Amino acid sequence: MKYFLKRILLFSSPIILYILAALIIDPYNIIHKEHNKKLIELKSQISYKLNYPLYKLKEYSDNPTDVILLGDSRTNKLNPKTFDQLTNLNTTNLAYGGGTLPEIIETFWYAAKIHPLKQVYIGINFNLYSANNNRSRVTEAIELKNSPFSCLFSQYCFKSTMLIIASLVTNKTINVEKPNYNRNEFWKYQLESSANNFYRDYKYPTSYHKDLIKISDYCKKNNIKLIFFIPPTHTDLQHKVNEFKLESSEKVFKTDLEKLGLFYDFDYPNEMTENKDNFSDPFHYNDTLATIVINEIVTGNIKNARTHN
Amino acid sequence: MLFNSLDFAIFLPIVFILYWFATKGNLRLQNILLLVSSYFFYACWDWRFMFLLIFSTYLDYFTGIKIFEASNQSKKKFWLWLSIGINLGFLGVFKYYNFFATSFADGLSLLGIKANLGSLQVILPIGISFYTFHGLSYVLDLYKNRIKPERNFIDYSVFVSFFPLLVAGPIERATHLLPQILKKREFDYSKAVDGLRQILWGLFKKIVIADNCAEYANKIFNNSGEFSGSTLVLGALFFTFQIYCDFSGYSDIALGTARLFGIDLLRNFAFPYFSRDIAEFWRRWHISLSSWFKDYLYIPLGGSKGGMWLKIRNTFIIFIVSGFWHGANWTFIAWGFLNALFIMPSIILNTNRNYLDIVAKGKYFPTVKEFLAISLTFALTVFAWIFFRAESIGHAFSYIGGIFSKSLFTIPLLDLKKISMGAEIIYTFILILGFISVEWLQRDKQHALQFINNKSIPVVRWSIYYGLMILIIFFQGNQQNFIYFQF
Repeated sequence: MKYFLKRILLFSSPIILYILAALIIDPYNIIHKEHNKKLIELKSQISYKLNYPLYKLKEYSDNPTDVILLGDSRTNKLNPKTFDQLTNLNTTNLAYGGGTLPEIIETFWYAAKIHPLKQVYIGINFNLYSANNNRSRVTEAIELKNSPFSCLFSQYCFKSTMLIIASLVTNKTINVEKPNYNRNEFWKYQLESSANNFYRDYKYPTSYHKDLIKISDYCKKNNIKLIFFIPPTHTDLQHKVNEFKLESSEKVFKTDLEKLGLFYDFDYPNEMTENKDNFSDPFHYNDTLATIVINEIVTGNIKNARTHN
Repeated sequence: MLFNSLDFAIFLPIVFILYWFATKGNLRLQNILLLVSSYFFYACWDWRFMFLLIFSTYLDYFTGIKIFEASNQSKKKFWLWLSIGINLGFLGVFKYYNFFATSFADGLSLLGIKANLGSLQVILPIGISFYTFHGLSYVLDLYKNRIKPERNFIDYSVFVSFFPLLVAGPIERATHLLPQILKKREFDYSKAVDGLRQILWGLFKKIVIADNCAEYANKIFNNSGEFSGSTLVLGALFFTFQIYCDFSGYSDIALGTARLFGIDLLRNFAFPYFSRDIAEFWRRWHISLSSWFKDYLYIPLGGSKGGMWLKIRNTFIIFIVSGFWHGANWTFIAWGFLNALFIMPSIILNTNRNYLDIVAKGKYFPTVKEFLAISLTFALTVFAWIFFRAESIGHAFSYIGGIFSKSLFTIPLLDLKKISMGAEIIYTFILILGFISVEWLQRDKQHALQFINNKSIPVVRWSIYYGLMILIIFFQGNQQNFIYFQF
């Protein structure tokens, strides 16, 4: 029996070591708030990128704010501090890289449950507005946030802990995202692969539209300023809609958003969206456009956006 | 308290340590500890139904003694039927009342008579089908003079409520488990280590294979009208692996856990998807239930004696009852009926005991004939699972209709994109293939990790264990309840 227990202890020692390391590092701040600057930096480089929803939702539940931003990587680009300055309220950016419509919806209700909201900015592009773009990482993230045990033995916590330890030991920055392509190659890839994937099997998102109506009704009832905006994309990507003959579906999409709350559309052919220098790839605008978007949607002082379909 | 939860991960080591250290090998204390922990385990699900469990246990304990002490056959019969009546009565009320009420009302409405028999808003007590059958086997064995009654209520209660088997089996027999409970148990290192291996394999099957397959099977079955025939086939295959890995994974954890306490439970699965005909499949799938029905229903009905028609009738009866045991839905009855139909050729041709050995024993690959037989049996099983998984008979038929359409021969690339955004589904395919390969190589063992004996190099053994743990961490699916908990 003693031999058995000794063997069990020996076998478990790497597991125990891992648990101790994960508890000390706590990559998603589930157990304690991080004060160590080095670890804060590493977590934002590693843990954050391995699971955006888990990292952000935990941060939000610790420090809920009156203003939230929802959307995908394009909304993620918007700096919440600029919002703070313009609204005089605290803002959290709850948009995730690779975000989807169900994630936006789920995150909204999660945030609304935690804290009374005053302003909600939702950035949705046409490619998100499809019933087939239906992945949601938010349910899992909420479960992990609420269950330290599951979080401890999740791949995200495991990977983050290992990579943070590796980074601390080697004193090197570890890039968890895929290596960068050359700009032209990536531009082409985004157009030919990512865009085609989105538009090839487009399907009108009936149930998600109903969910957005519920959000809109809730905001009206609770006096929450709700703003929908369509972040700018490059005209190369905009043309894809014509290529897949989805013009009428796109029109329905814009009409739907227009009916739900304040609406700003930056995604139409103009000087700004025709200029490749404003974009890192057809989907993603740069900081200059980000500032323009923030200014216009917060102040309502419109210079570039369209407010009607 | 799920086997794959933090609660159980804390509960099990505590009970284990107390069992082997605090009781100092005292059998009485060990059994009291097992009973208290089993009731605690059950109360974690729903403490209210614990009283039902205790009542049911006492009923069989009491009637068991009465059956044994009865001076004549009619008194014996009286106590037996009292026990059967009350046990099945509980099962009927909690599990089948609503089914009978709605089916009866539907039947009357066909005759133009409107009837509303009301419905019961009750939760099904977890494990009721399992512990009821446990108790029934005990009184039936007593009636048949196969055993003597257990007069110590604690020991008897451990037999009924032993926590590894309490909520989803295996359905034990008094002749097998009671003697182990009454015998002094010594710690057996090899048994405990093998138990841990079996637990690890069970966790892998449940968390990695079953929970990932569940995600795709649910998406496809819940929106079956949207998918092509080829995707519907995939959905049925995902469910086939889900239900096997879910239930046999549970059984592995149960058997492994029991072995940590020095107790051997009945084997419940013996690599059923490598069966060469349906008869062999049923000797390898949910063995404890199949053998229960064989011993307590098929044989009392006359079994295979009394001519071909009686044999056919009895076979249909046990398969339909077995289907109905799973749940109060026509889909389960249809599933049982289909299996009876599939086994008929073997029954009629008297070839149902042709395959008692292990397929392709000692070889890496089966012969072409064996391969074809396994494939056909597997295909029939997959087809029957569609009824088991469908929400209703109508759903099952529309699902099958969807399969046998022109789209059966399309490559479901767009559908796959709908059900899986990334490469996850590819990983699931690879994991299933890996899983099948390991099970194939280990098909002559009790479980797939048994090949690692203590003489092999520790580094290799431990690497395999750690590898499995890492696979569990990286490829765990969304946690789902064990399917058989609902039965």
